[in-house]
Amino acid sequence: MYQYNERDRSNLSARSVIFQRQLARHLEGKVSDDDFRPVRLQQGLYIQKHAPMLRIAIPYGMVSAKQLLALADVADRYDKDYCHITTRQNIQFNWLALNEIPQVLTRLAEADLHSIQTSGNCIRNITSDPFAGVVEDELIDPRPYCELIRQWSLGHPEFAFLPRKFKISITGSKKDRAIIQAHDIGLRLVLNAQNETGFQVLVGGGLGRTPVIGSVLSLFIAEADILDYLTSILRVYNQYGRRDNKYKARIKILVKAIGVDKFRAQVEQELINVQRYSKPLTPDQIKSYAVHFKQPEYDCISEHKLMQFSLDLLHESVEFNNWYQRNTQAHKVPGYRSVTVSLKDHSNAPGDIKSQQLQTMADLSEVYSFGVARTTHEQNIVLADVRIDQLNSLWHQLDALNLASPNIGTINDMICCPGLDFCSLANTQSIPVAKAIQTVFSDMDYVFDIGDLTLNISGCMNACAHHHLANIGILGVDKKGQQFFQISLGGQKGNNTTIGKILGPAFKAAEVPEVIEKIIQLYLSRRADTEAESESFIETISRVGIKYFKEGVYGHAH
Amino acid sequence: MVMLIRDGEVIADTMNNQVDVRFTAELQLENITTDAMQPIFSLPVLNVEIEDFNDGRVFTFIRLLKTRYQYKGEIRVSGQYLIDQMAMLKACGVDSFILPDDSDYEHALFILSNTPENTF
Repeated sequence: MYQYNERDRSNLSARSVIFQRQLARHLEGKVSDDDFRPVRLQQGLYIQKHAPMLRIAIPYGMVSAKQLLALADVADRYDKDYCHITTRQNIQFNWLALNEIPQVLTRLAEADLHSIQTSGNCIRNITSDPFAGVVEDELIDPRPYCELIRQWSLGHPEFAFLPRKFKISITGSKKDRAIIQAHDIGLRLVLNAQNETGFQVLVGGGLGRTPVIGSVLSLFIAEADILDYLTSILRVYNQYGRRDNKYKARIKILVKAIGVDKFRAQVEQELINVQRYSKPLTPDQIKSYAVHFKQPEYDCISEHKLMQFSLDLLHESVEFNNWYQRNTQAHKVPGYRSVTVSLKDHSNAPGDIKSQQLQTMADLSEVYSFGVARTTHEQNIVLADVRIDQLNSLWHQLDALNLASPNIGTINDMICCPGLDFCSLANTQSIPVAKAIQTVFSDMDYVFDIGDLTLNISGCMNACAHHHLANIGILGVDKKGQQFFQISLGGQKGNNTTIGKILGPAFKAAEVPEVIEKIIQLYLSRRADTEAESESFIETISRVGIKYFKEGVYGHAH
Repeated sequence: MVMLIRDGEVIADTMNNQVDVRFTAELQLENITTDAMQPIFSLPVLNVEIEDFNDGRVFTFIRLLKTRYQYKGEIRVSGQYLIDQMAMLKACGVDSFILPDDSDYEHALFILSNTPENTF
């Protein structure tokens, strides 16, 4: 992963000193709340319901063992012994004291971590595929480009006060695991006919109040020109994005308002102007990022050993096999698999991780996966490079800490925002609903039978849990002070990103688990199974249509 | 006479500090063309008054003045910007600052001299 150099460290230290002064000036009453707001937001600091929330940037999800230990230490010393993985691969602390933020930032900086640009109307942390560099269907490793764009956007003086926040995601695989169609800018690495590396550029995707699937802005921008192209997009947006209404200020609204063709024409005109004063990136510059993401020194596993492992699997416990099936996936190097560590155990809120678990994850990443882990937007952690003959031993150690629930990709692997329990934007409690649903689906045989299914719960229309893109989406809404939950079906992420359709009138919190159970029963009674495999939930919805589910849930009256 | 910050120092300036461009929400960037800008290009000092610190269009506006429009004089800002934005304004091309009322000059100088540069 990317290693900080001395300049990175001294810059981070300088920024940290500046923020400490800014915070002190605010606490001394020299700076008003209004003037301090953009400053603290650009430092990832929110004033929340119970305590300040600090969001730590995990660049494109890559986190080292040393960093996991620093996060564990902060959770232990300054928070309530846990933290939370967000749906943009970042990490949040929810219970810090305002006057201890400087110590927290200092402790994190010791491990090259910071909270800069994790909030505010600026370019946010770059997200990517959690299986970057190891997955079989990858065309080009996106991480060097993620790092390039991270460095370009960090402290960018022109784009720190945009009309609204700005999110960029990058994938290098055939299958999109980075939700590029629902980002302000989504980038897909591609090769052109001359085998040159470049990007397909999507623009204007996003969720929130107005969910929009991104439009194709360009089919190929050469890698040497990518920063100029991004500058052009951001410049057009900075100048012409709406600033009079924060709900209409995202780039998706601008692109919709003028149409993608006109927007493209403006960007292309701007690019001509930008390139009169800039130089394209050189191959050496690009290489200087790539050297940080060299393939680790994998062991060569013999054919004999691979075969032996397959035979051994037959003798392993059912529990291990379930975990192997659901929580590990193929790796581009024979003899290795990528392991997803589930943070969706029934005893925790989805995505929460305790200090001791973080410490163990640091140790396990050192022993089994070259000292690196990755956070996922599904709020889990990946150990990407585990030797197959070490899987069993890893599984035992994860299981001892409730980190081996074999539920990845199932209904229990739900994505959930912190909701009203923590967040000052939310108007409903999403976590209790998540727990109530998990309780209904506690029989793992039943869960395995249901198979692949995504279920996301957002506590308000800001849609932090990406409920629009879930097979079953649940959105909390406030009606005259009472909490209700609206259910949508048929959303999906990936190459065919689709926004789900609202099923009908919202339900009270207590009704939600039985409604979900009803929807699952309706699916199981109609799914078309072949001998080889079962039709997945989303496939059944696509084939049967939402009306069948609507009638099944509400009766024919609706 | 007005106090301003230029080249990392607080100085008293006796020049006429008229406002040349009022950067308000009503300002239409579409109307800013090389032709429209001609009359102000000959000014040795161009004072841009910022109405609202949230209106980040001003960063692009100033950067374009220095690059695309090749303005060679001194760009000065005044008005309702934040001291904490000064390093960004400087990086975009601002040469001198008339500080908002009751400003902390020491903090302003600290921000200007200690903010790391984005080298892209």
